[in-house]
Amino acid sequence: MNLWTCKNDDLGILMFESEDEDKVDRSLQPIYTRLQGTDMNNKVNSFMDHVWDGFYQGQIRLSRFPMIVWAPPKSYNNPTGAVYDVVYTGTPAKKMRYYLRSQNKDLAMTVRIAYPSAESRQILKDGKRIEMNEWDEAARGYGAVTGRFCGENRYIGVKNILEFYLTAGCTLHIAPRDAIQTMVRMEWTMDEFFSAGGTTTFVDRVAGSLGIHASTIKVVSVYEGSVVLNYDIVPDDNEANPEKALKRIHSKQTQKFSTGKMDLGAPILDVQAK
Amino acid sequence: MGGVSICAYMGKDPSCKDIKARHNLVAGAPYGGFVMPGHNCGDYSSRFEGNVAHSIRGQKSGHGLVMQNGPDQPDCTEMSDFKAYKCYWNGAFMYPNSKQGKMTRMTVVDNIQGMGGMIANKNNEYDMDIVDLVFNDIKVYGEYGNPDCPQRGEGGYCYKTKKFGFFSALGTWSGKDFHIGETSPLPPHNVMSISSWGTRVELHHVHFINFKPETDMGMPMRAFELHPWGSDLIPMHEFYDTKFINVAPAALGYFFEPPKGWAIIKDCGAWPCTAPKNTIFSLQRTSFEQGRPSFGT
Repeated sequence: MNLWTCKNDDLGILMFESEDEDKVDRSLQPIYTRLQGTDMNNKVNSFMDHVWDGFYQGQIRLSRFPMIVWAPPKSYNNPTGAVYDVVYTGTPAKKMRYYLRSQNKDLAMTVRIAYPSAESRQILKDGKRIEMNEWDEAARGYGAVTGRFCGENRYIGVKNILEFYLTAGCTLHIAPRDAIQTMVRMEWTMDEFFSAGGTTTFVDRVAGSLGIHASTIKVVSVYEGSVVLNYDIVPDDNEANPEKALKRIHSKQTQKFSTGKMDLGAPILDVQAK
Repeated sequence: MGGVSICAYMGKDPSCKDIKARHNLVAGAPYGGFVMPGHNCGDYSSRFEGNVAHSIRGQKSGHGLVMQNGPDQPDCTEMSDFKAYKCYWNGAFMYPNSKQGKMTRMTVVDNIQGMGGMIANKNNEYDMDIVDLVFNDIKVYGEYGNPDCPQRGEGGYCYKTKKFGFFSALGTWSGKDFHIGETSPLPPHNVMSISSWGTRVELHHVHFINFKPETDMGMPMRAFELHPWGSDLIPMHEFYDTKFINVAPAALGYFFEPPKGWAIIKDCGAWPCTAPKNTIFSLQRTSFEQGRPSFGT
C-alpha cells in the first residue's frame, strides 16, 4: 500500500488556474503552498504538454494547479483557521480563478498571494466585485480578513499581499482593476498625519481637489518616509465610460499637482502617478 | 476491432437506433468485447443487459467494454448489467463526451486494470454542480479462478502483470473515437488531452472483493490505483457505502509516485507533474468483511 489513510474531514483540494491569454504559454511554476504555523509546503507543477507530433513538442502547458489542503474551519482551538501562502516563482497571472473542493462544506481557508508590484486588483464572485475590508486607522492598513464570507479580502500595502477568504464550493476570480495609481510623499510625521485625520481626511482632500466622490479613492498603503501614501482612483460604478473618466481624472490630477493646487494638508515632496 | 460493435464502427451514427443486445458473450476479441454507446440514463428496460466479455486483448488494447454516449445523448449516458473477466486492460471502461456518464450494476472479475471511466467534458468543466461520472452498485473482484500462467508457463500462455480493481477517473478536454485507428492514442484510456477543471466523481455501493497483496504470479495486486496516465488533475473521488470484502490491508490501494520519466521537456519539464501527490479518495460509510485493517475501525 502506498497512500495515507486519514480519518480527517478537513481535507480538500484547492484548485486555481491562470485566466490570462498566455495561460498555456507562460510558466508560473513551481508554485509552493505553505500552511502558516506548520512545515507543510506543497510544490506543484503545471500540466503536462500533451501535444507532440513525433518531432516537435506543442509547448502547451496549462497553468492549472490542484493541490491537497488541510483547511479546518475556525474554532476555539483554531482561531485563525487555515492560512495558506501561495507562492508563485513566476510572475503571478493577472487574472486567476480559485476554487476549494471538499465533501465537508465547512472547509475554509485564507489565501495569501504576494505580488511583485502594487497593481490594482479586485476579487470577483459571481461576476461582482467584493470590496476590500474597511481601512483600519489603528492598524494603518485594511482590516484583517476574519472569515465572515467567501471573498472577504484585503490588500496589504508595501508587502503587496492580496489576502482573501475561500470556502468549500465557492469560486473566486482575481482580476486587474482599472485605476490611477498614485504615490505621494508629504512633509509630515506619521503621528502628525494621523492626528490630522489620517486617511479619511486625506481621501476627502483628494476628492475635494479633484471633484470626485471619496468612495472612488482607495488608500493602498501608508508608511514612514516622511509620510508616503499610495492610493488608487477607480472609476465610479455608474460611470458610462470608465476609461474616458479615468483619463479625465488623471489629466486633472496631473495639472493640480504641477500647479501646486493639490491641497493634501502638507507640503508635497514627491509624487508619481500612472 | 470490436467483438460486438454497436452504432460505433463508423463513428457515432444518428440513424442507429433501437438496437437491443442482450445476453451475448464475447471472448478473445482484440480491441474491445463490446464497443457501443450506453443506454439513456435511468432506462433500465434491459436493452443491453446480461452481456459478458472475457479474455479481450489486442495491440495496446483489451477492454471488455468501450462505452461512449450516442449522438442523441448529449446530457447523460449509462451502461448497466454488464460483466467482464480476464481482460487485458479494463473489464469496463467509459469515455463519453456527454455531461454525465454512468455505470450501474457492473461486475468485473480479475482484469488487469479492473474498470474505470473518463469523460470529455470541456464544455461544462466550470459547472461545479454536475456529477460527471457516477459508478453505482459495482462488484470488483480480484484474482479469481483461471491461472495467468498455467502449468508454470507450459500451458500455452503466461502473463505476469500487476493487477488492480479500479483506477481513478478523469475528465479531459477532448475524447477519442470509438474505434481508434492509430496506435498513439491507444489504449483508449491513455490520456492525450488537458484535464478538465471541475470533474466530479461519485461511487456508490462499490464492493471490492478478494484482493490480496500479490497475485499468484507474485505481482502486486490492489483494490484501486491511480490512473496510470493521470499526470495533471485527478478529481476528488467520493465513495459512499463502499464495502471491502476479504481485502488485505496491504492490497487496499497504491498511489504511485510521479514517475521520473515525466520529467522531460516534452512532458512536464524539469520535474514530474504532481497530480498523483495531490489526490484524495474520500470514503464515507465504509464497511469491511472478512478482515478489518487497522485503519478501518
